[in-house]
Amino acid sequence: MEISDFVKKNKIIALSNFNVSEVNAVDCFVVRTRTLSDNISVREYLSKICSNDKRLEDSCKMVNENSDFLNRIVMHLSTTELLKLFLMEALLGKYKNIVLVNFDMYFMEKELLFFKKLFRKLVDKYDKSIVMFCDNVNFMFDLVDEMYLNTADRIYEFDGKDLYNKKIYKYLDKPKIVDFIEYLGNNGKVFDNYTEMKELLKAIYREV
Amino acid sequence: MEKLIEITNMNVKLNNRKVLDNISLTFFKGVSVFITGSASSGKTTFFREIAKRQDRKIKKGVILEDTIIEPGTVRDVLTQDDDYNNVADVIAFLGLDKVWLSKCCTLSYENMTKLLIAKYLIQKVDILFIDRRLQFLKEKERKRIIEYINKRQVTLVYSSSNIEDSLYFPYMVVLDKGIVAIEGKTMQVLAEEKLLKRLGIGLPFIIDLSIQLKLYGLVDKVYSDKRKLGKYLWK
Repeated sequence: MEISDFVKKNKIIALSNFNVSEVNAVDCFVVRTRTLSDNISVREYLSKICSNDKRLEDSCKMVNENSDFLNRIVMHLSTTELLKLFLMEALLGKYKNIVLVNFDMYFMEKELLFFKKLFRKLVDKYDKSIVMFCDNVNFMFDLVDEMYLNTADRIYEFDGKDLYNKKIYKYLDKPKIVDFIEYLGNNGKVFDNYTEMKELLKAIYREV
Repeated sequence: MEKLIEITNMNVKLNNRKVLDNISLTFFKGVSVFITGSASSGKTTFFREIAKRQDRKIKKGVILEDTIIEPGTVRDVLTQDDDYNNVADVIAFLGLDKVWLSKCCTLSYENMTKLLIAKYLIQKVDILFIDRRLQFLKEKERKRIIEYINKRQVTLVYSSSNIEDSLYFPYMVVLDKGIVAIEGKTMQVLAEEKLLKRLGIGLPFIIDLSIQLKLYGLVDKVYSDKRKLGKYLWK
């Protein structure tokens, strides 16, 4: 399998339940965790693709870091800081196609909201295409344009608006809100398929 | 309660930058601990420091995000112990019988994680530290393994950014910028909603829902179990 089979221009595509090692990623930049043992600064690390200070500082802002980040030593960066560095590398290197591998696994919910907005911006305004290996329905919701779900017999395709879908939950973890609404439904209390807690709260308040 | 590991004033400085700042934590036998924190809070550095420690009085296992076993097959790694009954149960539970003759270097990340867990369970470690790796398993499998480790009387210390997993642990530690921001019984820590929000930590869904319902006066307390919450709402 090739990543190019899934890349769609100016779209965010999710690949779920895939074995990353079985997908060949060429002509793209892959953002995934890996350790770096270079005793050099972030600025020096990125100098191979960009030495323009303004562009370097702008790329720091894009990943929610200030310009001090450029002076940090690469081998001392945390896991999440390394992911941000690789994301900066992808942006500065002007790669059209970016692949994110399990990006959602490393950040808390609030941090992920920031990245959701960033990824959408990269695709809508900066002419990028993104493919993400992701099994987190919550993260993919309101973000991806399409999702491909790998199963033993075939690969299913879902529209990004249709991710709260029973077919998907056979293979991926159900979002907790869906799980709770389903539980209530199985006990005689039927609620709509809310995706926001506020809406569910109002509905429970009306019902109780 | 029996102390397994006592950490006093753990400090780590990298390039003049404090990554861990006077961390003091005690791990007790039978009290598994969930460690979390926002990005760059020091979780991985903490686990790496634990791995470097010499703890002679207890048997300790540490599985870091990049820990792998390379030489040999799964069978080679797990049959160093001659108590086959002990080995067989662990292998079957973790599904390693399916990859029994596989070379370790060909294992998927998930199977490598299970192999490492199996290795330490067979060695009968007193305490097992796992940095994030269980996050790559499905929730059901993750819960199953956490319960199995606890059942085998191994104290588990697990770090993750998935706050839902905190509900499987009786004790919780939240790191923030290299310090212990808050620690305590999990439900007590999760009750500190405002502090956790300030630290950028969300709440497990059912806890968050309970807190909101309590504000509306619809429930009497915070629930961690959907069944109990549902039962109370429509009692």
